[in-house]
Amino acid sequence: MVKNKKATMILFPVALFIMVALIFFYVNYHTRDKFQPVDVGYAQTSILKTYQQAEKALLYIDLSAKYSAYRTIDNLKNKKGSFENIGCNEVLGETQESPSQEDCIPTKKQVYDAFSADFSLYLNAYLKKYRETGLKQDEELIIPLDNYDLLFKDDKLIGIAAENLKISKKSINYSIKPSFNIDIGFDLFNEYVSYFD
Amino acid sequence: MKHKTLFRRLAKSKKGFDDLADIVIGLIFIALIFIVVFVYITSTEIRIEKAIKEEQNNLEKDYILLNYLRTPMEGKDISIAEYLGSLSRKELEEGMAFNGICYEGKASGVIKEGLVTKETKEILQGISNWQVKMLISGGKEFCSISKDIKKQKEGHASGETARAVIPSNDPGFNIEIYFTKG
Repeated sequence: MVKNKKATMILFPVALFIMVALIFFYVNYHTRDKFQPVDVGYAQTSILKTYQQAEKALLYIDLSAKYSAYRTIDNLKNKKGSFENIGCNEVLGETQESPSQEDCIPTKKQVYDAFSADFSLYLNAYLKKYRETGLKQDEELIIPLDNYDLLFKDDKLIGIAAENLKISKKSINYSIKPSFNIDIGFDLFNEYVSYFD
Repeated sequence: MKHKTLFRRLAKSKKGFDDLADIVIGLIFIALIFIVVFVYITSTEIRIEKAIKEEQNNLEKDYILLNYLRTPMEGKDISIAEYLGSLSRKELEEGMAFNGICYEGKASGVIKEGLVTKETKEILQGISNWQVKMLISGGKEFCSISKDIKKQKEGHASGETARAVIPSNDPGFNIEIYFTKG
């Protein structure tokens, strides 16, 4: 080939082209992001994983809300409907002279406030204990505390979240409203009304 | 016949022989490059496929785990998660000793399955190889179910695939449930 004049003429540009291509490859190889086979579909699977992590947290919140509601109701029942903040130590027990019995019958608002206060305490205690093990070191899942406006509808307790549950990752910021709608088995206000009938 | 004559003529002249050698070397080079590139691309594709399949399986297990926890238990008005949450620490700890939550004991040589086991097996019957473990957070396992009860004690978990935390009615502890590759 080297003895062939035509071939020698072609050899030079080919060699030059290969040199340029090699330099181009070398320069670009170091400047681009490292490619890994798992990168294919990484963003999509990350989104699905994050969504599932949020769903698990929502399930935890639902169950925690249910247990907290039961504990709150038990607590109020154990106190026999006592509402110390309106000056009554025990409403259903012995009749007290002062303040009058009528003052001791809590209004719906007082029942609601007492329930909300206890419920928030119990729910916060549950939520503080939640840990998502699938997160990396620089990732976090935040469940806001003292976050609910409660609404009683028939036998249901609805918690409307003020702030969103957030999952922060390197490339994903996921946020969802952690409201809940749980069946507590009875109407709280009717239950209380029946105490005083 | 024509080709044979051509090759014979090429081989006889020195210049022709050089050209033929160049062509053969070129062809070998091209074939080698083609084989290397083909093998590289194929192996990369296989690795990508494997990684995606594994990721897909893990995602699927996460969905199944969530559905499993939300499934209502037969004969009860509550879901599996609520049933587990309704058990006291003592009941769970007793369960640790002889897997009491999963298996209620032996009746005429056959292990009698507990409520959770029946439900689990029914829900996971479509999955070829599974193992479910339940434990008190930071504590010991109180229940371990696998597809084949006989292999229950022999089964080795080879990596966690999906995990969920559920609260207990007793605020002192949480319950963790995870799937492992059987």
